[in-house]
Amino acid sequence: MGLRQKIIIGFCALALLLTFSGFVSFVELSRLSKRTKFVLDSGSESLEISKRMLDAVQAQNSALMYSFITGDNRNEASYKVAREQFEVALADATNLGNELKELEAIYHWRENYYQAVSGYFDTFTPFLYTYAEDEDEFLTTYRESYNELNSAIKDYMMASQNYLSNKAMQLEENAYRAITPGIITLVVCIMIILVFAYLIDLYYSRPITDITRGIGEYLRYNRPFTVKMEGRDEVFELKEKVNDLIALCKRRKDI
Amino acid sequence: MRLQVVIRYIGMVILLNAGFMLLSAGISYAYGMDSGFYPLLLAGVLTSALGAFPLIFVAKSEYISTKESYVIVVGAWLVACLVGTFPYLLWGGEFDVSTAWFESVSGFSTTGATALSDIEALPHGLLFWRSVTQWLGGAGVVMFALIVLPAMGRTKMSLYSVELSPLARDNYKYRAQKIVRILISLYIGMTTVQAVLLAMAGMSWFDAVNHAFSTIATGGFSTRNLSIGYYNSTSIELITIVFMVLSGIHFGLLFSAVTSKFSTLFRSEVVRYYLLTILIAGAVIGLSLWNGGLYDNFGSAIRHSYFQASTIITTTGFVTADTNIWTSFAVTVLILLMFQCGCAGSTSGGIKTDRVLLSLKVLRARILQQQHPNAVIRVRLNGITQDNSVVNFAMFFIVIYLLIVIAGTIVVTAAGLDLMTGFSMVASCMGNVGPGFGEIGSMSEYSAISPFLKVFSTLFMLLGRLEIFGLLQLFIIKWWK
Repeated sequence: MGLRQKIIIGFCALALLLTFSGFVSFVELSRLSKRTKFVLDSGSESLEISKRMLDAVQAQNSALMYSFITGDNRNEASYKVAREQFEVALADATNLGNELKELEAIYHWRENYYQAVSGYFDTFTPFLYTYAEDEDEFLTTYRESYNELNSAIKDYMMASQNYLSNKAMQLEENAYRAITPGIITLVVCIMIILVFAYLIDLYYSRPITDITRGIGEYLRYNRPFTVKMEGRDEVFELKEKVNDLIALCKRRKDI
Repeated sequence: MRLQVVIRYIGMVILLNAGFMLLSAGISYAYGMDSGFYPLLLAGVLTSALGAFPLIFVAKSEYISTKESYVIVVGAWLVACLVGTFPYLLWGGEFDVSTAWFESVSGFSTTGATALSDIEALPHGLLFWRSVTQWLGGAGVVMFALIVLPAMGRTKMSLYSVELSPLARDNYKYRAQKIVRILISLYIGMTTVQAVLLAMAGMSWFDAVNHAFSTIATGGFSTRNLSIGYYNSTSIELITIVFMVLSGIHFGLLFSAVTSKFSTLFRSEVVRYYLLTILIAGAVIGLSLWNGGLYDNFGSAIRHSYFQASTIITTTGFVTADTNIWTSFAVTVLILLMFQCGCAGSTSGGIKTDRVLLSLKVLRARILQQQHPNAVIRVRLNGITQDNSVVNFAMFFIVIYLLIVIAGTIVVTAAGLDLMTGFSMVASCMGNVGPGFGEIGSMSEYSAISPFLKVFSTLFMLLGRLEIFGLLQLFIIKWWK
């Protein structure tokens, strides 16, 4: 293989490696960017879902309490709307995929809460009259399940924020990991560049310097042109041509 | 010195490493494309580029001088350790730069010490790569490259003379090329046989192959946090003991034993001394453990004592028991074994049994000389009279070895380690053993020590593996001219 091809291959290899390094860095940083976006989006989304769940539970409670005090069963519709909103928000929280145990607690206390209010609107008669003797018992059961559900939602809100906070802390580590492939590729590039520089000097620069010195010594002191070279590349051909030229000059001089 | 020739042959060794990285990526792929696949693939591609580059420019050389051989061997070892960190760093997990360097040097130098607190968290591909590093290191990175890459012709002779210690070369009576083939055939053969036996004894094939790599290379990396102790199997321990002890014997002698008579093995004075050391050490440690009430019965004490004695003297470093709770006497005997180690011409590190035996013979000769001042007393080993130069070099080596251990202990204790941990760490790394005592005991690992100490201890691993002078030569500037 000639020197020209070798140098072209060398530069192409370097260019490929640098491109590769850039590509790997790009891919890794894109992944990091996606993870960062996920953490930020998940943070705001879980907060918003928690707020919706709290609002929905509060709306259910308001509808029940209003009906309980006034004896007006027209609040059933607003209770049902609030309940549906809660279910949608809970489904959204489940779809977030955090798999937190606090979410299971919400499901648990939701069941308790629904049990406490089950049949209330079906057998509707104002509490003040029908539930008079059971009023304390109902309110105790209801209040407990309502409070626990509220607490479970708040716990979930805190837990999801902590979970995302941990994820955010991992991002620092991920940032280091993201640049590692790029750094390693660059280290390899630097090693190759050092080897390449040495080899170019050895096979290209030094022979040309030797040829120049050889010609100079021939012209100045009429010393024989003797330059030792390894390989049979373009520089070797140049040396051979110079040899031929000197031989031709000698012959003409003799004539 | 022709640096371009050195670069070319180091490049070939790097290519060999790249090949095994890609093989490890294949293992990752076979195990459901685990998390080790992309790091190993990427590392393999980068290492291939690095190794192939010099081959484009530099033509093969028919002749390599001794100096060039030294630089190729030492350079190849260092560069192999460097590229060996790539898969670890790319994978991430517990690996930072110092841990990856430690793990890589520990592998290639066949020390087998680990800086990871949870080995089982590693994917299959990376576990395989870890085992491969010590398997390659055991055979000698360059030695292996010579047989796999057949383009080097006469250059084999110069390279192998650097790879083997002077004492080891005495026993080879074959031509250089044949020596290399013998070594590698025996190496691969023993690995295969052990892997099959371990699998038959109940290990999974993956574990069996990895442990066989570790045993024959006298490395000590395991795929389990509890090492061989995980299996709690007498048959597995017995197989491992046999192969550890065999791997601590001169490979030329093993070849003779396999191809001719098995009794050839026992004709060697060094082998007899080596086996006797294991027998006595195992027995006295076992008695000490039994007497100390550490095990319920004598059988258990003997089982663990022989395993630990074998694993330490052969510099393998597998573990079946917590030696930190053993009696002081048992620990002292293990430390002595940590210095003596296996025979020259084997894959074990340390001072080597040959030199220890030679030093005892020199001691006897000096005493006799004092009794008979005019007598001409020669030192003979395996029936051969040893030259003064060989004897002097062996004595000099032992002195330098011990001085380095003392100096190293001073530095590591100054860095905050207690005496037992520091001393055993330096002695263990210098002898390429692996586990030590104290904080780095058999049931602990090097994860708790500082990054500085991790990197510092790798210096001893390399010094031990390259028989001290191999590495030191590189730093003598005049020698480069």
